[in-house]
Amino acid sequence: MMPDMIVDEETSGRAEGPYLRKVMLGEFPGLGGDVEFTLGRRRTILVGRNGAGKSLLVDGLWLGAWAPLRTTESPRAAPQVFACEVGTDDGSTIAYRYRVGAQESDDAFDAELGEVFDALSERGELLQTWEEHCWELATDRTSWRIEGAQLFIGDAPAIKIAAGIGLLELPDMPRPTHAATLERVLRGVRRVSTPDTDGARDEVLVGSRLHRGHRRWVQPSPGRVNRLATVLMNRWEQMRTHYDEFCAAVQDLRLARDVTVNTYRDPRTRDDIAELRFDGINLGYLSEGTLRVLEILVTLLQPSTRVLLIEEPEMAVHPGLLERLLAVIDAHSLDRQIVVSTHSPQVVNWGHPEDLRLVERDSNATTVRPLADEDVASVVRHLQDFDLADLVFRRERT
Amino acid sequence: MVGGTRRPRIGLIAEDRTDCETLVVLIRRVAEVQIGIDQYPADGCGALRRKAAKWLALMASDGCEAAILVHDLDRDPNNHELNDEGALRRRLADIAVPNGLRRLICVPVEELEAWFWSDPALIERVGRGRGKASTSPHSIRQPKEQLQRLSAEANGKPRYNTNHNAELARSLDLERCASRCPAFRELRDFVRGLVGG
Repeated sequence: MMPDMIVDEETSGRAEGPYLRKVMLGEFPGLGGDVEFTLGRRRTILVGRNGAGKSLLVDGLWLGAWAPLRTTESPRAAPQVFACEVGTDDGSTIAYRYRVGAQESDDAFDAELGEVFDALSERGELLQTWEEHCWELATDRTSWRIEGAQLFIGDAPAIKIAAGIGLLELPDMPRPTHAATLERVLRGVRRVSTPDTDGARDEVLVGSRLHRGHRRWVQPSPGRVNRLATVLMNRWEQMRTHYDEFCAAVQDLRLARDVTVNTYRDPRTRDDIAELRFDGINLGYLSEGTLRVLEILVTLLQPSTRVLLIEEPEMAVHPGLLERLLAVIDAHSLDRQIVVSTHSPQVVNWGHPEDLRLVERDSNATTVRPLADEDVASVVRHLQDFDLADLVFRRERT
Repeated sequence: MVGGTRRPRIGLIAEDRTDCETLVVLIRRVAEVQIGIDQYPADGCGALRRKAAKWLALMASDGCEAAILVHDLDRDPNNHELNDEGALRRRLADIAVPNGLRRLICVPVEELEAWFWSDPALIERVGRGRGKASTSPHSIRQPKEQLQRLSAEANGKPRYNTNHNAELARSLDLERCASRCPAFRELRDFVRGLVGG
């Protein structure tokens, strides 16, 4: 399972680093066809009516980015075709594309295999093929390519590999040029989706277990609040600098003056148990809006985050808090890309005209486009009297 | 000069809540006396212009003696040149002001954060010894982003964000800022005039 939020190694967030310039999602149910869109270096703001496809774009980008890193477990849910362009610090652009397909057979066991395929397909376990290609855009020079369970690195002879696996998941394989850069970007794609809460609140306690001599905090049961608590506890345990940074941001946003971790020893099992309290209140009892902002903060501040996808950051958040949150996000967009989908005029006004991507649905297909030059000119004219949001949400042109 | 022994009350209109909070700190420091401030943060400059007339009327009815209207001088997104300050001031001056309400139109160049660039000690604090204050902060492009970058270079990540502006304003060298930033000088002189300084 791909995590929304991952605790990982400490890395410096200082360098501006590689970034996503363009993405193409193909064969992703609901979009109605291939969708391609560009991303801003710092901010991308997806706006459009309900049902236009904004959430699908966020899901597709997240699933598509992670699919090459989890080829053995996730591709069926991901876009079956995904392509992206990655800008690098030296000014070059890396292009990458994968395609997921079903296993084909042309030998004498066709019929028998066909039955196996049918059974697997019914159980959602159909064997897959995986094709991918990475190349440098300007020179068209291939870095590596996987086709028919064969790996081609540059001009070297083909290497036979297991079917359905991408290079970034192959162990003990020399990494060709650009693989590390691509992996850094794809692995750095994080998502904070809209909450699916049933409204029930309960105290959250996180248990621990020893892992290679170190204490690891383990998610007690599924659910976003439990996951958030576990991520924070592991950050407290292993990445104290980043945990302190999170606490400072919480104070900055006036969410709480005091964040405390209380640990206990279960007398029966002798396991450690921990809880997080915000001004004395257990994490599980915090308001929906507060939890949402905490989720965004913890993901934003994660050192390895390169591209943060946030669905409707305004949801359940007071406008004053949203303004303060956007200020924090804005500062961190110096070295990571922020992609938000929104219905909020406040979020739209936070951006610049060039950050906007209009998501539209026509003939059952989703399209994405930046503001055209004439739109930008119109925005400039109208900004004398209106805001960007007035033009995006209020104006109808037919 | 406003009011005898009564605590002076002014209205403040700015483009967002962060600017309002920062300006409140600066106005109170300049005034050096207890002063009441009614804050009207707009959500952007368009909203500010649309709502200003009604807010000014509200201030007058709520007993404010003066109003301060702060509007950034933005850049044209097409050519990145600063907009015409005279034209902006004329537009803002056209907004009706109730009788008896004194008004200041304050136009920081590009962003309020430019004022912080006037103070060497403050820049040293943000940049942990890096960075250099400017004798003409209004000539700095994207002063807010420059502060973020300075902070990121010094700390490995951008610890500064605009939520810190009010805190920075508490230690801003007011005299140096007034000498280097014409918009702040106007604000200082207006507030001092109100409180009889």
